[in-house]
Amino acid sequence: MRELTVDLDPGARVADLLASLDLADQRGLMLVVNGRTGKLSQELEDGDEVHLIPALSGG
Amino acid sequence: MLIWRANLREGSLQREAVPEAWSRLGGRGLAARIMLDEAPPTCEPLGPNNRLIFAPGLLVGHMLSSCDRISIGGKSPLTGGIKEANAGGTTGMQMACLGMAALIIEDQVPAAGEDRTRWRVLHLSQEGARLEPCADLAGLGVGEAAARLLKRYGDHVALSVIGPAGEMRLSAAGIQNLDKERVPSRIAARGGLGAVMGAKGLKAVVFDAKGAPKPPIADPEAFKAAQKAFTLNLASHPQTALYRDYGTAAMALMCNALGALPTRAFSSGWFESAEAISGERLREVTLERGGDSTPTHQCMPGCVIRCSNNYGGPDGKSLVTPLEYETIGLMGSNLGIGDLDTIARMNWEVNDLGLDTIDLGAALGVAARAGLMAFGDGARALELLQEIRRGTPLGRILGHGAAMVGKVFGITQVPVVKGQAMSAYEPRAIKGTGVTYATSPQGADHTAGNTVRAKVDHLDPKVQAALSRGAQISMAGYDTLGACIFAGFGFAVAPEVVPALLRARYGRDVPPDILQVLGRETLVLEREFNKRAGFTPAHDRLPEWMTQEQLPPHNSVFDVSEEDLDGVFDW
Repeated sequence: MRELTVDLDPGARVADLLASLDLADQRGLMLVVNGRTGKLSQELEDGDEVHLIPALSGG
Repeated sequence: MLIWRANLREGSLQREAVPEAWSRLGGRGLAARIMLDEAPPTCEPLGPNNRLIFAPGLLVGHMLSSCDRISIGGKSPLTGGIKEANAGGTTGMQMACLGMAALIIEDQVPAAGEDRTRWRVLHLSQEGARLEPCADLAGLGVGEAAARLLKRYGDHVALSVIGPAGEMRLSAAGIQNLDKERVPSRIAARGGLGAVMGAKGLKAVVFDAKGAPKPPIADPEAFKAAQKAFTLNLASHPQTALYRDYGTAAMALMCNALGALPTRAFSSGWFESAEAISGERLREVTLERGGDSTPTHQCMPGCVIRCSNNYGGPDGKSLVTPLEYETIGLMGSNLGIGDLDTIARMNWEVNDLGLDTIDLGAALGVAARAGLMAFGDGARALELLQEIRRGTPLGRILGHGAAMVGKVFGITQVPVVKGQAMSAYEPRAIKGTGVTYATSPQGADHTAGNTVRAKVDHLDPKVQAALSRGAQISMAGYDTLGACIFAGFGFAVAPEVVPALLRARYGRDVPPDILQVLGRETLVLEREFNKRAGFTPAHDRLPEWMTQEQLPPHNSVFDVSEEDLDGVFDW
């Protein structure tokens, strides 16, 4: 697992975060912002914790 | 394909044509149909009128990747309702090669007291059935019993075997099957079918398909074409690579991120040591240690996903295979244990006893709430498992699962529905899976319809019932096909492959939505059985405490409305 601290412009959205990490294809990813399912269009705030997780289903 | 009917009292085997009403079903759907047609729903699960049914799924027998699973069914002594538990391994394939549409085990070996001379092995081959005494296997762990059975009957057979827990009729006892390396660790775990098998006096079923032909395919060319398409879709799906590299253990950090990883007896959804028990850590350790360890492994020959693993110790020798997410959750974070080696040792012990790691992990969590162990005390947890091995009253209580432990020690915060323990998805954080736990005829069971992958707000109570409905239908469909639920993402890419495979295999037309048709039919049959067994909508609820006690870190309660819960099966 890689953990990064990223600096983004104010008003940046989740989509901007992905772009900055070169993650164009996010279909297989679950976007989790502060523990809740996130959306690409969601605006981020200072201190937000974003998890980008492969969308698995365990057994 | 024929129905093999073994009566343990008479010591007889009949091989019958498949009745028309059963002929379009397999696996879980067929087990439900047979139970509804033959077993009185109010029967005593450990009594002579319950059936123990083995049914391979409709697509089993052709090394279709990840589609050779065996369903085992009956009435559950844990839930008091219909039960299907399925497993990978080699049993399904050998049954299909023997031409078994289903094996129905009726009645019980006549008992004269509890002594070891009562135990039998049911040996099935092309020649028919033999019911053989096996007093020397009584009381043995699954590992030793399987080793002796392979020596006795040949290295090539498939086995379904119970451990001491099934012999003691403990409600969390399952039935172990061999993987392709002949390790008896593919368990049909949930709901106590191991106890049903023990009550019938059977220590093991041996499936010997030596010399048997492969099951017939009506249109081999069409089957091959559909198989090729499916395998390609599956092998190239990004999820397959993730399962291959990290296994189901990859769920640990995912659930933790969602605040849904059961921690310290379901008192929180976030575990501070989740990284130490993650799929990433498991991969690191297995690659480092080498020897028997491997982060990728097939439980069934031909599977391209390879999500299983073998977790070895520092000396390179296997500690357990597989080490799965559910065990990492229920026996790891749920017990405050942040060490894979400890979890692996506990897993081996529970496997060898022939018990369900989910219900045992949940049981130990309740035991911790009751003060029998401290959270994080792996050594004490292993001690408690030894009580089961020794058959002490405390051991028996634990082996009956979380609900029993709660009852005996006066704990109400018990994570169960219909008496069966929840899996490693906290329902107050993944509310759709909570709906499945509440409403599935199987009791709390994530494989019956997990919603964790849906791109929804898992905390919004209003969107969950529909998700659960869809998931429950699909899962019941896959269980009827004999498909591993992970094959699901291969099928989802090109859903037309499912009817194509069925048409080619059976030479009969099926509708394009056959997966959902089979799933709905299975659920209707199961719900009808449960209704006749005495279940009402009041049983389709999460335990009260989960509707009232908030779960950190989201501080949420389970608040899907009763109306929504009661509407899940309206279609």
